[in-house]
Amino acid sequence: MLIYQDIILGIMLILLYIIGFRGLQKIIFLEPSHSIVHGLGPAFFPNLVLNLLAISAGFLIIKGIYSMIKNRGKGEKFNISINWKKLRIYYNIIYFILSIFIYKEFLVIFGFFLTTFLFLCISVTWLYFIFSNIKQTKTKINLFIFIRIIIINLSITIFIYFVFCFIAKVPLPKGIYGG
Amino acid sequence: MGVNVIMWNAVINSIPEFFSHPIMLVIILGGVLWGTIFGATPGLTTTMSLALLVPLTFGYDENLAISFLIAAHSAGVYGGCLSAILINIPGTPSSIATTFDGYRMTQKNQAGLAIGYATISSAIGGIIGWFILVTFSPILAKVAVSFSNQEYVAIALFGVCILSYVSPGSTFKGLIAGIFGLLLGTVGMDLITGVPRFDFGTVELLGGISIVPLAIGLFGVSEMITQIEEDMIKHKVTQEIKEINNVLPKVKNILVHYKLIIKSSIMGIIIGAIPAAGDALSTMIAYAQGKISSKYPEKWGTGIPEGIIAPESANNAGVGGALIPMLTLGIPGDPATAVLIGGLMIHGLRPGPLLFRDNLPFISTIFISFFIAIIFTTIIGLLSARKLAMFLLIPRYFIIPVITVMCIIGAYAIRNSLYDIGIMIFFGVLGYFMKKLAIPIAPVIFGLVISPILEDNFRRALIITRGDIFTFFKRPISLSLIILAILFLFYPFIKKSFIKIYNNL
Repeated sequence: MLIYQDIILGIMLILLYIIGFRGLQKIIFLEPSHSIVHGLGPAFFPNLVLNLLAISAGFLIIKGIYSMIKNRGKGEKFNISINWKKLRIYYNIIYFILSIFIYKEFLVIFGFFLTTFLFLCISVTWLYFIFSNIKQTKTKINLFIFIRIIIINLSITIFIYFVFCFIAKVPLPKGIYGG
Repeated sequence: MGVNVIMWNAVINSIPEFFSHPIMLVIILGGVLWGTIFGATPGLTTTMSLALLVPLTFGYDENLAISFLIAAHSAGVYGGCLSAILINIPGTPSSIATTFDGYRMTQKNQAGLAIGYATISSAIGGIIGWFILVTFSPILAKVAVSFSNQEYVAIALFGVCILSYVSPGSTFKGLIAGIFGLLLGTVGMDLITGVPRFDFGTVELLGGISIVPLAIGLFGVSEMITQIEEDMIKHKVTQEIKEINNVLPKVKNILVHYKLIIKSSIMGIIIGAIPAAGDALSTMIAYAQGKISSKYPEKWGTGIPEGIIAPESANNAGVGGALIPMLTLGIPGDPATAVLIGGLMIHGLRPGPLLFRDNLPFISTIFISFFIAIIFTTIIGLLSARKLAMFLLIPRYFIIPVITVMCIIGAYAIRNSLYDIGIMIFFGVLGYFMKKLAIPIAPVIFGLVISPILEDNFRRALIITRGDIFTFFKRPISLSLIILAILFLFYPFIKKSFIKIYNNL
């Protein structure tokens, strides 16, 4: 997989170049006819940077192909074997990112306090169980742990609310219930 | 009267004014605690702590805000030594070298003594860095006033090349990350013509990509994702923190090493002051230099105080060093100062030579609060290292969600916009993939900060000279900086080919 890294990165950079190039074409600037130097409009610098990016992408791909040819027959093959244990980790990462998205959406509806409290309770419990399951120490839901998590998270939420609202004077989203 | 004398006078004159606001001391104390805790907790870096702190200081006036940020920055670098010494995990990248001897001392039941050495040498290093900052930055600012567009272009290019050279991993990938940052910096309205660029039809992107959500995403969220993954793979063993006692080493034992402290501090300042070189590099060099010049190099790495003194005085002196290019030229010395620039820009201040001319009281406030922060950090480090070490015991399943909430609210608070949370999540995921592909993330944020400076000066220089591209090579300072930048960029190739030629001889 390691030797394909350069090629993957190169292709991603070329995609970025295409997106950037399309963005460049949308820049509308009518250069005044009396301008002393032509071509130094708003698109000049992004164009330069994009070209540098394209050159780097080309270099990376050539480097990747070169090392692929050099390493051919040395045993490193592109084998697509799925490591189930690793896949579970990636699932968890996706859950985590999704949870941030959901938090963001709920923030507008339920306001900071309720959303944060729920987010903390759910994610702390979830992480607690996945981390302890990995370590193979058997943990069961027990009332004591549950109450502890709720109390700690409630105090953390109040603390963050206090810090942002009263010390930092940042207006937090109130939500439709005003909380 | 020299400019540095004027600066010292201004600093001394603003001391009574400074102490007339008792809130200032409270703010600095808060910043020191914040920075130390973030620095001491592995996985939470100084850059992240500053990125999360900028939204908190948003409602304050600029003096309070900068004092808070500077205090957190200076204490964060110190805080890294606690986890490096106690659990062998560097709290910040700048304390990697401290683990070599620090943890060995902990194993010998000398944790308290090790923290004592680290604290005192940090304080001395910090004060040397501060002194150099106050004395030399006005001189550099005076020189920088006469800098024209060409010099700024050369400094910016030099910074990008240095950062890609010193970033972990390959130079080329670092350069790509820097170029990507430059591209991100072009999003939004053009500075010269006011034409919108890459806004993709949204109003939010017209003002450009804000540095705070980007920094929080790249340094905060991506780190949280990585930690979920790491914790599941490695089954981290929670080490017991041994008894910490006898924190104060004897003054005589420290003064013996005065040469080492001064040498390491100067190294830290110089490397810190090179745009984008950062303090992680300076500590490694200071450690290596200390080892080479030592009378007993074989003892280094077995748990001797010199092995803590050298890196700790270097990284804390580096804080002052990194502030020199930031304040005088507006060019960040490391990713943390890049976030500091972002924080200042929210208050409508653009660091640069003109700030020294027009707003000297503000600069004096920065210097005084930096000094007080060093003193507070030392006191806290000596008195309550044991209590601070308790933060290392907070389980990861608490840290990750709480920091995530702070990231989200921090990104939101800058403009009260949900769009910024989206930007933060995007860069968080991007940062995670960049780590997977071994691309350093620090050059991205550096590129973003430097992009407007580079573009503006580049275009202006070309417009003034009617498109003469060789204008950058016609001025001595810009020419030498460009040559240095190219040398740094191609150093790995040059070294390789020299070795080849040498072997063939």
